[in-house]
Amino acid sequence: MDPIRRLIVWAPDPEADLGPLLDDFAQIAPRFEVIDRRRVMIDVRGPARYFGGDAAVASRVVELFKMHGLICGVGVADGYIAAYAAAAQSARCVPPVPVVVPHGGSQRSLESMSLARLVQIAELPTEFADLMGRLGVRTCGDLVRLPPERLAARFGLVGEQAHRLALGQDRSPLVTTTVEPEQRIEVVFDDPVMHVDQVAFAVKRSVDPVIEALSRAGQICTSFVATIETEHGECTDRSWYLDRGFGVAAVVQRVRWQLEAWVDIPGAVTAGVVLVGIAIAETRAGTGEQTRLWGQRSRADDAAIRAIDRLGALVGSEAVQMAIWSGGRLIDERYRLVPANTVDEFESTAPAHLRAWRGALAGLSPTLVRPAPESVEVLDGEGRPVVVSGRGELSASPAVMLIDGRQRQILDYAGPWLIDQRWWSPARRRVAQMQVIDEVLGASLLWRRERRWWLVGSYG
Amino acid sequence: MAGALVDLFAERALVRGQIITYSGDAARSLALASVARATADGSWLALVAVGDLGVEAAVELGVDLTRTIVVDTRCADHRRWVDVVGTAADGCEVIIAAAPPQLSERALRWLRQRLRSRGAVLLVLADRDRPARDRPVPDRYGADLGFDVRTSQWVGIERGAGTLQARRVEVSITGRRVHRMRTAAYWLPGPDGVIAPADPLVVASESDGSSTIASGVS
Repeated sequence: MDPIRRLIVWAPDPEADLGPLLDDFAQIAPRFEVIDRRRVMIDVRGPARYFGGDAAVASRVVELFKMHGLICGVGVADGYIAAYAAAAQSARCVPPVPVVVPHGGSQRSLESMSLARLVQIAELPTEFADLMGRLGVRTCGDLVRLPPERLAARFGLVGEQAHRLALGQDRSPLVTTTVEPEQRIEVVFDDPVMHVDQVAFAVKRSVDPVIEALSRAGQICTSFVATIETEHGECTDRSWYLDRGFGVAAVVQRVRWQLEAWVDIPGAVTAGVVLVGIAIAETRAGTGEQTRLWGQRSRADDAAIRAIDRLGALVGSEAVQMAIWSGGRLIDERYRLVPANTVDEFESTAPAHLRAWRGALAGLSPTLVRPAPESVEVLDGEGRPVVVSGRGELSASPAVMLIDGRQRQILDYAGPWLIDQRWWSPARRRVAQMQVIDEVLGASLLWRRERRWWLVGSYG
Repeated sequence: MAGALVDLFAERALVRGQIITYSGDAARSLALASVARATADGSWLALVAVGDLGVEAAVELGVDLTRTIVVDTRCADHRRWVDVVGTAADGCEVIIAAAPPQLSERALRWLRQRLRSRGAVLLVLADRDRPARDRPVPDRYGADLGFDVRTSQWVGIERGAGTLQARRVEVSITGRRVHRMRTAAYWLPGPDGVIAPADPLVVASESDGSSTIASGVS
């Protein structure tokens, strides 16, 4: 079976969120699948017939995102891997130009891609690339020249899958099935729920047995549609896709993203959530890839997972949390603490290369970040308030800081730096940041917002 | 922990069953740096009641977030604190907990027993304690080791320019297992981003515009 011809949109900016734009996107392709906040995929065959070719669809998509001030790469190719690689290549162009790999050309387009990259995109165990590298097999081209049965014999399913993917094919398309309608889960709230975490909990509880039953039957879910409805009848539905298959926490994560993006659209949500529906759209034979092939889950991991449950019983499961990377430039939003039992163990890692994101605070980060910043006064040498101009300049050198009535001399300071976030959206935040050192050598991070100074963090 | 920090510990490592206290303005940074290596090697870390943690700073100091649990609770009384820490010890080999209001000898004995049987090490964060209350911090928790960590110099910012890049700290080491107080100085981290021993401070002056203070120097 030929791989599906796909178009993938990829936003390189780690803080980008395509969520609020998806309704406009639906004008071009009514059926699309969301991979995560920065990636969307469509089966391009339908829209291509309508608009007159892949290139025509792709340039419409580029136009749409440009209109919203978002930089996105757009790639079209046979199969997921080649389409994704094309989107990444497209994003590197300035301005982005869609990259369309001709039909039948996927294998050639992947020829020189490194195995490390393939493993990264396909979310295969990284050890596979390391091991092959030591055997002198470094690119997809090298890999496809090896006999597939020998790869399968030596590396099992990972070897077989990697070979297929390097050829530009999809992962085991033959065993993809559409499931019967009873695989639809409805979570009904008698009292409308206003809090994302509450929704996440309820969804987790209901999805758990279904994913469990699937996995007992040797199946994993690769696509589902989530529908969320409010008391006022407002409704959103999204189709989500994950090549390696969804675990329970990954499903919950997607519902969380969908709800957060929806709430961010001005006026979209005016009441609490009363219903969440999860319809499993596609499953395929589970290959056991979800448990890491090299380096299984350790005994320490199992013990910790049990401790998470016990701690939850003691202090409430909302209070037992893990930190997940959420992008952004401001210290209070780059990581978020979410209930530990809704975290997908594969997704809580912060990609190290993204940490030094432009505009983020360079240098050291505060060890103490206040969830509710405290208002402080900053005065110059003559006791006048220090203010920041629109261009980010200080009215005078800060000399004294008043925290809670207590006075602290300012020995030295750095900044301010202006940060203007999401200028296109109502959730816009404009902040000037400044670091100060006080007389007892305490260092603090201050923000200037809404014409006041706030103590946001300390370096403890 | 970062390689250079092993010199702070007689056994050159965190020892299961022990209690270690961290006080002083830079206590958090040293505590997080002390557990970084353990999390990277597969141990789980529980942070108990250390409200307002700067997650990013933890990452910079080397903590692996995929094995870190944050227990966000107030632990209003010491009995609850002991319960939560004891339960965390079931699944986490390393625990950093904010100091409780007060701890009875009995609760402490129970906790120590628990830490030993579970093979966990507890780091008590006493950065908000007033410096000289009734007893020295390590004594209050029957700590095997106690670190008092004070910032003595900041590097990287000057009159509006730069950003905080490096910090020098002076550490005094006491505790049940320490016969005579020792001191040490570290870059936490240094200008190159690496945690390393610092040379003893020779000149300490405030008049040359640098942010060095004379205290904490042996």
